[in-house]
Amino acid sequence: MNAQPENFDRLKKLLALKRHEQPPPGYFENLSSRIIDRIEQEREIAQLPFWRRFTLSFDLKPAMVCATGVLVCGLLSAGVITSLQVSNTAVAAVPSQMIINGQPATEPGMPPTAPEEVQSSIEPVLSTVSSPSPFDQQISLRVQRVNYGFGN
Amino acid sequence: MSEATATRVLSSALEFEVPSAQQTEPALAPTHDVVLVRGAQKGDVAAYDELVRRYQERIYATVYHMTSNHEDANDLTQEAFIKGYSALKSFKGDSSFYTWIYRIAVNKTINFLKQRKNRSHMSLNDLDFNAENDPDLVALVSDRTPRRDANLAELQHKLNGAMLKLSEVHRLVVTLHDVQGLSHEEIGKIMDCNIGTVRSRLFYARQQLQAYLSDYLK
Repeated sequence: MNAQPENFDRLKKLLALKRHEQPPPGYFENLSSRIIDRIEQEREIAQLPFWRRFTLSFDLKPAMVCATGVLVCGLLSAGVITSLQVSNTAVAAVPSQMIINGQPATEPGMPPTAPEEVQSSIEPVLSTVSSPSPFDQQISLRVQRVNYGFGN
Repeated sequence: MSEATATRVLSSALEFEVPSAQQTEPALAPTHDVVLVRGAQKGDVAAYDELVRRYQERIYATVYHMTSNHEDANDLTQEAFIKGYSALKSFKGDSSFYTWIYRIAVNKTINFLKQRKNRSHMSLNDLDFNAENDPDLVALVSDRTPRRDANLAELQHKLNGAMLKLSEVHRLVVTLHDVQGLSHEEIGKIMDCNIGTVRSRLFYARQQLQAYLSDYLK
């Protein structure tokens, strides 16, 4: 590398022009006080509790307001989407043999069930699923009043 | 570290050549810096205020020449000193406060410039009255047009445009050496590299600038 200083003489003279670029008059008189003000402001903020600093950040950083708004909207959207997915899962869990021609199929001897009752997500889903167990077939449950008396 | 050692380290850190720019360091400044730094580390804001006053012009000038934008330089200078205050407890005195705060400002500026990539907007400071009377500058512009102030402003714009074409590290080396007058050793400490690297970067940066500004250097 042949760095010959004299080759850059005119460039150095030209670069000297930058030393004449000066900020507005009086700029440096106030700069240190602005810096110290900001330092003291940050010290005061640092002494505040967390929740107070968090709310204060809304005033200092408008972007924080936007970020929080986006976060809240995102959480709400996620909640709505999740609840819709739960509803769809409940409908999908109803066996296809239970719905015939748009009407819910019922066991022989049982009263017909309204469609909205079958598709409702608040009904127990597992109870409508037919079990392959042979013990579940043709079992009719009957409610009987039972009295227990003392002194028989 | 004893005070004598600290003073010796600070003195050696500040022993750098001053090629052409006015980099006058007060004779007792290193000792004062140590005292002020100790005071600031104990929470004395007035001591830090004195340190800020001492170095604000040089820090601002460096950041300004790097960004070619007064507003950005103002913000970055303030942030550098605020960061310096919050990090003062970690300052061990291995280097001078001057070098240390310079390093903070330079790192902040380089990070800022990397984020701002391709969005450079110049907001140049006015030239002072002495520019029109600088014999070197007069020699550069007098043969081009009789309106010296207009020609100087154009030259200033071209020069800053050419500076912005350099990479951040090359711009920094030119700024610190050719504009601010720091020595290679001092630049090496600020940029955390050896003198050979500083020299080669400076040579390359000058070559680049010479090519960009060839019309004005004939």
